[in-house]
Amino acid sequence: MAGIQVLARMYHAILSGFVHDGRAPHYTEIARELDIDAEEARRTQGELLAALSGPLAADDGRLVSLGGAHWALPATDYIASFSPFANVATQYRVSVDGQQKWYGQCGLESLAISWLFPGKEVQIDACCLDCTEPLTVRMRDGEVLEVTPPTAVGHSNVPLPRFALNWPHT
Amino acid sequence: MNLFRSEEHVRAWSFFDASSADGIMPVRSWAHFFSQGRMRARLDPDFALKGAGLRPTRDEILAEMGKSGPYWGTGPSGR
Repeated sequence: MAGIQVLARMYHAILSGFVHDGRAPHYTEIARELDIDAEEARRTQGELLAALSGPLAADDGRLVSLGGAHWALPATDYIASFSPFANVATQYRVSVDGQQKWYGQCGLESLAISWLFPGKEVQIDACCLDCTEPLTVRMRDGEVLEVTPPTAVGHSNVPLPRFALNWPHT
Repeated sequence: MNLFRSEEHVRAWSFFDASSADGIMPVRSWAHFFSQGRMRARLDPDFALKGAGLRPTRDEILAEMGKSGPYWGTGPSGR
């Protein structure tokens, strides 16, 4: 298994890629950035996703403790979701300073995205799963600037202790 | 983990599990929950090496919000 330093660099490369491009970088792009060969990048990416999801904790388990959800599309090396972003289109469309380029992993993780864009306005647009009418949340640096409608709520069917048992379901 | 236009819409949602009613909170409250230290610092280059211990922690925020019980995994009937 790759050492925690390599896993940490890969974590940063993936999340930075999302922030810059609105999508996960492919492992070949990560290989170039980290100056490693493609197969090492592919293998390390798999190890990182497994370590973040447990139970294959890296070294001392610190990666698992980071929280969040990270997984690849089944039987592929394509990242599907990496907290707080989704690499597939979800109903949580995220705009930064008016540009829509990102998707939130889920409605609640979407509320953590503004921390990754310091000083910028982050807007989450979605349709209510019940009535399909729109709702909007505007944030900056973690502060909620607007919720429309003001009655909007967040919810998880899965209790907190069971969040990590099946992340795609959660 | 979803957003709805109101609590009534959560309860009317076809997949709503009534045992999860404790998890219905205003958007601002969930945004506060997602302001944990490890979520603020995810983009730091060394986040994966230090993130687990960053404050405020999840449990500190839950305590501040007065959230406990089985749904939140805290308190005598929690974890």
